[in-house]
Amino acid sequence: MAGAIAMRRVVVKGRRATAESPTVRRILIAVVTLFFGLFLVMPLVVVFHEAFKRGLSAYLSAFQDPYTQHAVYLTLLVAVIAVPLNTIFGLASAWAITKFSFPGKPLLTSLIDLPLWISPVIGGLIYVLLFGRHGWLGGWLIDHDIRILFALPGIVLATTFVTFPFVARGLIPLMQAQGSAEEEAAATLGASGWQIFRRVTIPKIKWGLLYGVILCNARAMGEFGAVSVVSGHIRGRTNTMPLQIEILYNEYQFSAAFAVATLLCALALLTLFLKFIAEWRAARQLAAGSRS
Amino acid sequence: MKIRYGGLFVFLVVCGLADGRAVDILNVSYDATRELYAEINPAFSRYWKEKTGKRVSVQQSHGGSGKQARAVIDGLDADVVTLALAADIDALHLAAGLVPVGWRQRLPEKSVPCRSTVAFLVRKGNPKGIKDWEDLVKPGVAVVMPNPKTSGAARWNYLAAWGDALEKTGSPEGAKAFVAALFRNVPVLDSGARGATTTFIERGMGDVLVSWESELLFIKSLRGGEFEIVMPPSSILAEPSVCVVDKTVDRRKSRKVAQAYLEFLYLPEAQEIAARHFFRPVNPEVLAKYADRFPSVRFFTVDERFGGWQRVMREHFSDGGTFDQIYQPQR
Amino acid sequence: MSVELKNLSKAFGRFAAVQDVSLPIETGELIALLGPSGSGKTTILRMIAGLEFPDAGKIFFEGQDVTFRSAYQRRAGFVFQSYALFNHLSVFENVAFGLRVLPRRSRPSKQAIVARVGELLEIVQLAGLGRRLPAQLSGGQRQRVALARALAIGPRVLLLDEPFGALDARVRKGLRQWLRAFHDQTHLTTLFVTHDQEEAFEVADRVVIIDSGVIQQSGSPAEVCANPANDFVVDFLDLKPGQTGWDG
Repeated sequence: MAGAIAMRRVVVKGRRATAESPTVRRILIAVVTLFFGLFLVMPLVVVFHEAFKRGLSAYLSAFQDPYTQHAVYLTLLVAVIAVPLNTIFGLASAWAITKFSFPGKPLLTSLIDLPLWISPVIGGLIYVLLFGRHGWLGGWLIDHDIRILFALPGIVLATTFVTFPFVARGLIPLMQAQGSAEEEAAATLGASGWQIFRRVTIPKIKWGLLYGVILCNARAMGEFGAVSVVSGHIRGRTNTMPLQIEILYNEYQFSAAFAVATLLCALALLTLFLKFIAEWRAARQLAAGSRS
Repeated sequence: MKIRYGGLFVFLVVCGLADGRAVDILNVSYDATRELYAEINPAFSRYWKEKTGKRVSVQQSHGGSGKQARAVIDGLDADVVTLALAADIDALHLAAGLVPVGWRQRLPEKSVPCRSTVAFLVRKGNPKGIKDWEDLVKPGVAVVMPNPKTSGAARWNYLAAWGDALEKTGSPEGAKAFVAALFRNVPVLDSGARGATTTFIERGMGDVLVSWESELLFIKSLRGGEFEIVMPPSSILAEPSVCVVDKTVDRRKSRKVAQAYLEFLYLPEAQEIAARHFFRPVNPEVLAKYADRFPSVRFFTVDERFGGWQRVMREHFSDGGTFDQIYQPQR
Repeated sequence: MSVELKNLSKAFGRFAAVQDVSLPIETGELIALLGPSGSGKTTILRMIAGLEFPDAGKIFFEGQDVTFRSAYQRRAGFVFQSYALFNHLSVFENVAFGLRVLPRRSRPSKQAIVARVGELLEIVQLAGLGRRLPAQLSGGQRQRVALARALAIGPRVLLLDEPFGALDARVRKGLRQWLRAFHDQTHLTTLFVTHDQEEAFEVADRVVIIDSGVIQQSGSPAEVCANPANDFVVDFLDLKPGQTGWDG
């Protein structure tokens, strides 16, 4: 009898020891909310406030500037090229890494993450060293009038480089968790490689793929450092939205700078929303799969 | 899908190669001239159309003067460069042979179509009583300036301070001590001229902003009553230079237009535009017209007092040069 | 179709999973590959299917060397331990998959596919569940879908990898009996892998006992019990000394 009472007391004590006290929980939540408020919400509010400070017509007139219009167009164009490129690269590398074993696989897996560790400025500098006049390939290209650097191709390359990991990283853990059993089953049923990819793999990974593409796109549109190095800042030719915002700011056109910034902010918010949906659906799909 | 995107890519490269409808040239310039060339370029287009019946459009690129020179060396296809200091154009010759060694003599006034000088901007009422260079090193005065290592315009500030001290103290050691004292009064070195302006104006830091007269006049035109310009009795004559980039214009067959563009900068119309954008025209009549905007000051030049830019770069701004010896980051 | 394995070997890194395995399989036999975990039996099965390639040795289907033919060329029906159903497809589409991916020339018409799938669902006793998704089925039902799917392509050999392992005892018994009955009807050459001795002995014509990548013994259940080849067999089958027969 005494033993039973003693046991019960031990059990109660144990439970309290593993749960945080309500005070700690409240402090943690307060800190996180403060952090969010200061670093995420407030800047967004400031951007929108500054952009609309002088009224709607002033806001809209910012977008009538032909240089700004071109910057928006260029940003979209670069994204339209870089994102599909990286989707293909990402799919191919995720497939290679999760389905095959080959020498040097761990090295490739780490290399995929390389653009995330190094400063974006280095990402741009790489292309200057390659395609600059004194670069490895640059001399020959320039003599033959082929413009890579300080022109659209250079911007696309730099953007592709810094956004490369996103699709692959969205896919690799997903594909690893899902395993290859379904693909193998499809193979035994007579499906060719392409049929397996289209009918079995893509439906499995589609939310993870979408997640990666959304992130890749957001980064592609917002990239500053790498593009700044390779752009040449030629007005109306090689300025993307982020570069144009810097230019407007440096020319004391603060309202216009913030107006263009609202575009990028809107994109960020949209990205956040889409990412949330894609993440949720991917998790649901993974859970359903693992239940079978 | 892959093929289609490859095709698009090739298409875009080709587009980058050939755009033959109007002749276009690229003017690679520095930060302070953004507004200036925005007005000059359409004027030149009109002038060229009248003169030859052909259309021309001038593309602009702006950035820090040294950074822009670096970009041209790396392959940025400038037909002309209009940079803050002759040393940056010398670099084009030294690093890549893009311009010949005697480029300065090819245009009037040693290839300088408009000038400026270094002056001070203080807050309304001049609370700290800044009148001359000595006042900048008084204790309790916070001076805002960009970093001479990264900003072409800032090198002029440094040389202005050095040059004035050299005259007043009579020795390089005295000048060095003065400039060292000056930088001790600088709380933070921004990387560019506009950055320093923002620090002073928007962030409200510092008692005096040292910058080009053109920049200070531009600020006053925007923010009128809050600030005052103080001209020191003696200052350096800032001579931003222009040059045709031979290698590029020979390849693009644009020499005629590029040369005409730079010569246009010396014509009265362009000189007026420069004056309106707060640069001192080299044309004496136009300068006389704007005499109250551009007060007379005792000027000295880099060539006279320092023996030329090559020496300056070697002695002061190379690694381990005088500036490195003087300035240790305070934090 | 007859299958012959000749001197098959496979190593994963330094681990020798399969060592010099030779096994002739007659047309219409129902063979159990029996052994403890890690004995190499699944690897052998996957090599027959074309999901792995041996380091050495050969595999013959009806006398033809198929050793390096890929899985999709071999038409070996495979039922996975984890069912490996296509979770985003309905039961009907799962079963129809093998027919839908046939090259256009040999692909049956839509109606033919519907008919065939209907037939197969009847055979595995899942008629009427065509619209369901795998997530909505029980374990036993999913396994039957996997069976129907593998049979849809009219395979020449049926391979099953621990097909009933994840199911509860009653369901397992039912499926075992079903498999035996199905085999008696169709005489399709069938190999299945199991670690469950009772299952092997109940269902198979011939039992092949494997340990550490090496065949320990091959024979009918009765033979193996009467004359165990070595100590491992005795131990594994838990044969008491003097036990002479399998009363199954």
